[in-house]
Amino acid sequence: MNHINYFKNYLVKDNNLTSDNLGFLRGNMFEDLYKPYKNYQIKEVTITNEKDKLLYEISMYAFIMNDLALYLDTHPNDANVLEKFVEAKMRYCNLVNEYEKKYNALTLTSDSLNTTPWKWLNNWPNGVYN
Amino acid sequence: MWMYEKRLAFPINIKKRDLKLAKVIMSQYGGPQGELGAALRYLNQSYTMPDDYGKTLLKDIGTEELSHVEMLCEMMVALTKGATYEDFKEAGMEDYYTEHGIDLYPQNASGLPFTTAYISSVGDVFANIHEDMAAEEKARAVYENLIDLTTDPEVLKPLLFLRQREIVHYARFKELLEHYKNK
Repeated sequence: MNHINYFKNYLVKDNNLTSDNLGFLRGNMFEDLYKPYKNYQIKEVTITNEKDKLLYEISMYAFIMNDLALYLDTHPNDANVLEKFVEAKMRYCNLVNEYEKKYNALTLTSDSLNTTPWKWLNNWPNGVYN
Repeated sequence: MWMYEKRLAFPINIKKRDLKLAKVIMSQYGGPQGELGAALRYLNQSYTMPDDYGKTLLKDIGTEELSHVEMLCEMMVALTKGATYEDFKEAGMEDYYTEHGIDLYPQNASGLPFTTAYISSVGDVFANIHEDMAAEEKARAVYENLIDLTTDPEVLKPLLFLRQREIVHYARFKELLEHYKNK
């Protein structure tokens, strides 16, 4: 694939990336793209137990991976953002492993599904189809 | 190929029933600027994009939109949880209850069912990407209208999140447009 010159002019600077948690709550990892609405403030999500906390962190790193992936789709040469992407991916994979060992499968690839009875049926995460 | 992951893209903790709010939020499920239309619009266009840049970005954003459909469904279920036909009557929603009971149905805020007339693909990459950018701007505006109508902080959190995603997607589509202009 040819990388177009245009993209090279738009490489992100380190300080343009928002912190993990704030970026997730905002729904935007990029400071220069962030546009608040009126005077609405970004509020923390309420978490009451260990299981929800782990799931929250999984969703946070999955979000960061996705947002950085969209950026990399149009800026494939940005090594700074790629580095952040790899870091988020590593954290996501480790957290998914931990969650699936402690609680339940998130996807059909989970080792927690190797025993009977079929556990895919049970344990929907809190907040999903409640 | 898609693989389901048993979690939401963003946590939903709505505890307060509000049928009228569920009805207007439904617009972003099955309405003209909704997430279902967005997912179909981008995934459908992705197959005929002229190169890997367009194909990849449209697949990735189309996939993300499917996770937004799921968030909205979860929000509407939480907002109508435990509601009886009397609650529907009280909210002036006999029309909805008659045809759908407590089920979800993709329609706009005034009850028009979802239609593929909401999406478009015209065989021209520039026209298609302009359509995608306009779709993101219109969806952002609808989220702002919904935020104006909402006071429950637990509904505001996911609405603010979803609104911001429209801004990011618009920026990426604009970059894709520039790429094709310079090609």
